[in-house]
Amino acid sequence: MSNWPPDFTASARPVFPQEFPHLKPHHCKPDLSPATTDYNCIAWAASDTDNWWWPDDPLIGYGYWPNGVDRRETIEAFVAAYQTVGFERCDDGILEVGFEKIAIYALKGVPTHAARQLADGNWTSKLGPFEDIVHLTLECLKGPLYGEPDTYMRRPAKTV
Amino acid sequence: MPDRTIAIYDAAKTALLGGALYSLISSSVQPRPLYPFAPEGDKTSEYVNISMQSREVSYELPIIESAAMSRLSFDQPTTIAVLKSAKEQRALTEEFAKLVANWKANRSASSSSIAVVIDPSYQRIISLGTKALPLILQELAHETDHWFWALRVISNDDPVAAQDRGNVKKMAATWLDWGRKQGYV
Repeated sequence: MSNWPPDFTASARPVFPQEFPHLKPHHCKPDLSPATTDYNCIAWAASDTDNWWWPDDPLIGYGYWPNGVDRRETIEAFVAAYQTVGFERCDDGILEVGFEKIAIYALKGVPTHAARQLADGNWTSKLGPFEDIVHLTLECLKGPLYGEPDTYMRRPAKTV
Repeated sequence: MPDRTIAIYDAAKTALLGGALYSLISSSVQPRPLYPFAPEGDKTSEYVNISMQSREVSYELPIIESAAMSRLSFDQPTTIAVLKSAKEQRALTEEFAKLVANWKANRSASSSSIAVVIDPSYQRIISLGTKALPLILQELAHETDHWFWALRVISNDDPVAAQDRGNVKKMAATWLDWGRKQGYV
């Protein structure tokens, strides 16, 4: 098992141990993608790899945010944003056959991150401007940067 | 013509010894092969080309001066001023590179676009003003990244269409096109 510094992540950021104290090598599967700034975790949870989602002020910001949704950093605004791509609130992050779930993390009530559940029950996250990872539990990314899972949503899983 | 060429050469040599990186000297005369020769097919071949290689220093980062330079007359004081400008440009380029490296090294895994740009090094780049625009656009062409905030603040312009906001690749392409039209690229 590797130790921190986190050489098991693609970017091996020295700040990861502080930001993700619960993320350990045996919690984390090989990276899904190289680091990219083309999209972020909020987009990745919605399976969008073309846009950087964030509700920043349109007068000064540059993030994508769905039309008609409040551009504010609130759970309600994030829920409304994900509703535009078919998600609805649900109770938990327990795997349900036929549904794709996401978890919105919050720190002191402010949304910080979103993770998407995979068909096998694992979760995938884009770490800001860094890489996508697969993590076994939502708790892996709890910490001072993302806070903890706050809200769950689900939508019918796409059938192949 | 020979006297004039020698004067230019001496002026260039003085400036190079003073730290100038590279210079393109406009000339009303036909370019003569000094050293090194202007590369075959180089778009700057109408200029006499003098580079740091005359000092056997392996800088390979030419600072292509703006198109405005081609309007400079073949004048000794003007030529020297241009070469000093190249020295200042080198200092700016070095500072910019250091700030970019710091910005990228200090990034967190936050997805907030505010967090991306609130970094002191990023803010320092913004404070460099319009002289940073060519460097930012060069960096953007090299590697897509979140330069949009800085470009918008420095230029006081915003060429990105509302429907493209958030699409980093499209925003980068739009800003590079803007840079070409403004003469920064």
